[in-house]
Amino acid sequence: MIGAMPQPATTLFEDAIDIPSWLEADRATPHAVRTRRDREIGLTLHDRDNVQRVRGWWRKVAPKEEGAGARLGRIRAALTAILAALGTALGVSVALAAFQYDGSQPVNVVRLIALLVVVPLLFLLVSLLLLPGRLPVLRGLQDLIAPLNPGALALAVFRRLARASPELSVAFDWRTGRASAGRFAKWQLMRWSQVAAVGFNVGALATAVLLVTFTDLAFRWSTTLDLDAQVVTRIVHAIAWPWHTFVPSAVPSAELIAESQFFRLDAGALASGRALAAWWPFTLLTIVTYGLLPRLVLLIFASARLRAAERALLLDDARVTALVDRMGSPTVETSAAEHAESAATPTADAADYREAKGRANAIIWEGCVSAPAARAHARTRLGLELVAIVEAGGSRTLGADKHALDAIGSSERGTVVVFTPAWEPPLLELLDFLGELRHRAGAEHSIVVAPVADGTRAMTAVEHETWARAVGRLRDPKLYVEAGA
Amino acid sequence: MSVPRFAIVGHPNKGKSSIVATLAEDDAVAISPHPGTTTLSRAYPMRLDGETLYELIDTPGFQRARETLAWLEAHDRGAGERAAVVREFAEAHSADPRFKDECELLKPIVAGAGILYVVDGSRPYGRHYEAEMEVLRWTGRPRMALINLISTGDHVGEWRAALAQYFSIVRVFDAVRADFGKRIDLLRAFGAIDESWTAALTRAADALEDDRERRKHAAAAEIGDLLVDSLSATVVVPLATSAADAAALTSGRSKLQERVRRRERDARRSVQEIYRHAALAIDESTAAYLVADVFSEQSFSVFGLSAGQLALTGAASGAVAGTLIDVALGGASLLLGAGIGAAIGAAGTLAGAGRLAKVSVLGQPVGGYELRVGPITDPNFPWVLLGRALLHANLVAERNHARRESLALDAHAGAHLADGIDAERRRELDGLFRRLRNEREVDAADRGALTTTIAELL
Repeated sequence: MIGAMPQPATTLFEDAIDIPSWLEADRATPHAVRTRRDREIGLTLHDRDNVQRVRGWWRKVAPKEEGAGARLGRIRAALTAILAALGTALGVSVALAAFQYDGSQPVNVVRLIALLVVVPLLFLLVSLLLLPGRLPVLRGLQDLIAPLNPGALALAVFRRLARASPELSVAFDWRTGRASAGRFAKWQLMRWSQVAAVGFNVGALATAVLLVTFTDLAFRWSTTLDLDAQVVTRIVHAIAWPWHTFVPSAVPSAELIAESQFFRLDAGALASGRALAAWWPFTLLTIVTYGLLPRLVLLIFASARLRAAERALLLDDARVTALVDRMGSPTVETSAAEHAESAATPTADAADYREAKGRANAIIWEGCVSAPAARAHARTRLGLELVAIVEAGGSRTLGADKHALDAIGSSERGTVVVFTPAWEPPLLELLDFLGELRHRAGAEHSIVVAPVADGTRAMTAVEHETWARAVGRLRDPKLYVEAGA
Repeated sequence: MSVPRFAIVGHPNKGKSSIVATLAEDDAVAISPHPGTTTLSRAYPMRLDGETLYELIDTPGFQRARETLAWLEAHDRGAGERAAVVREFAEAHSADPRFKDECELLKPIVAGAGILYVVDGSRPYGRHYEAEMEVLRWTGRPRMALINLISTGDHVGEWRAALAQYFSIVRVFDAVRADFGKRIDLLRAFGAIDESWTAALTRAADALEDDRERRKHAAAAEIGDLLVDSLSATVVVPLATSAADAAALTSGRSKLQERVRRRERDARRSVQEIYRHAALAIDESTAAYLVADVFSEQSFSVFGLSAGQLALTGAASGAVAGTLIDVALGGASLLLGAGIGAAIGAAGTLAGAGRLAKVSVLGQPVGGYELRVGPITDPNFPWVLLGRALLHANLVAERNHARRESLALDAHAGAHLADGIDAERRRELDGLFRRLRNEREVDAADRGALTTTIAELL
């Protein structure tokens, strides 16, 4: 496949544990950074399968340190091995008990079938009851029988060992409401259960084969029930039906069955040992057919479902869903890579002008106020009577500004009021003009900047602060700003 | 084809940076009531998977426009050479600190950027703007004027008349209050100033609209996950015996509540990040609804459903279940199923109100017991959580990036509350909430449906 990724070193189970945990911690990374990173990785992945895409992504971002998944994976593998070993040991023990023959009492086929087929089939039934999930009608029964299941015991042990994180322990709770976690826990329980059962049957079968090979066994059947040989023959033939066409020699004949009936009080009437030993193919195939094969089928089924549940455990997580979306969606970025710093604050604001009686000249900057309004403003707000008024700035040329300065210079020397539009920012152009005005007016006279608001409103605090701050940049001790309201 | 580039120019403090912050959805752009905040030109490229579709350039304002124009006029060699003269001005003054701002703002223009000239339509027009508009005309670049509205005054008419003398396209654009639709309209309008840019700008606008939809969907998914996580949350407290004491119960309940609170905080942060408002704070004085504890009586009274609404919603869900029985019986039940289902649904919902969470003691196969607190069973709780999340997400989604104050509720806040959800959607949501309460399985398909419903409410 084009762009196929090499097989990962970690298992799907480990990734299903580690990826959501990592993504949870990754919430601290800014969303824009996550979006860009994941999209960039997503564009390099060509797998269409979301699980493969997520795992491919993980191989690019995974930390080198081992995550919780590896630890849990080891615990899981160890529990699997322990269950297989315990199952095998139990199978060996039960088989030794079932095939016990010291030469005096032959192996009772009825007991053998009960121990190696009927009891395991009952356990199989118990396992199957857990398969339908948490149905209300079965819930009570399931809770009752769960402790009998070795898989449930293993799951409980696993949860206890995994309890480092509450979120992780929930993932292994088969009673949880989260679909993927519940499904995973159920199939993990089923798989463990089948591993133990397969181990049991393999152990029993191996023991039986060894005993048949290395000891001489004699089989008979005996029961207190009122069963005659014909009934037993029908039962035995029904049991042997699955293999009667393939291995007819493993189907005990009616004669053998009749000869094999055993009564304790009639212990002396034994058929020939060779004839009695002819039962062994039947017993071995019974264990294989009714013990081992169903469990193997269930093990394969549970393994496949567990694999699917591991995929769901990974994908059915909101954080992983968001990751898949991020990988598949084009990134749209509109921000700057970096941002400008704010302009430096000047050292000090210009001082407010304190009202004082007197005469003054005035310059109206940018036509912000009419001459009569300027006179009224100077009288009422500054306590000054305006003598000469000139206009500058705005649409006038720089030459016209110089003429205005000349006119002020030739007028009566004294305080100069410069009316400016309060709503406009103080431009450097105006500061140039104020510098030139100071040069023409001389250092001893006050210059008052009077920002006037548009319409009838008063100058706002922000406007006053803006003008005081700008004018303060000239560091002129006799340059004032009209006090705010 | 060259990438469309737009220099945002104008007088200082007329909202250039606000327009950039709004269009670039970047709340880190420095905006201040004091002029001179922007000292350097800065590019804000719009990239789609790394490919630049257009670029906005924030610039400092004109400081010595008349002097600049005087220099240009002094070096005039005729109309055909004016753009070259502007370039010469920028080159000649690149090291002159007096014309630092003019050089910064002219640099991208002489490099080929279009011009977006910004003025404040809430303040009077003045002829002192004519020098800078004339300088821009000298550049010969395609240009558009934007009338921004910083405060409450209305001088748009006089500005329109004046700007029309210098610009073929004049638009009013409120940088601080423009919603997403207006921003996209403006972006598409940029294409009108140079036809060769139309295709790229249309593609950019389409991409931004798609991205907006994705973000809405992502925010809805975040809220959906908040609901699923919070409503299915359980906490486990180990017990020595099968009897749960009061201390264990208190501990379990408070752990559960803290978990939900933390999850809600995380969800809010995620939603804000999705809409690029990571640094946005909530104003405690004007957004008390959002600041109040999710388990408080205030939250339940503001965001929860009334007893009547709860009963109706429960009855509707119960009736649906009962109807299934009627259908299964081929109508032989004379619709008794629907009727009984409705009655049971309503009664069950009302009975659950006021009881916060389920409590159970479970034996462990390997010995010992554990107290399990959760899921939260109060039927009103999901509506409280959903109402708060919808209100928050809608405020954040509508929030303009040029605004700098904390998140506050406006007069339309009531329109976001959960009781505005129509009956059909409410019934759908109630069905899912019930399943979570009853510890039924919720899979990816359920979450997808929940996300879709929430996205429709955003």
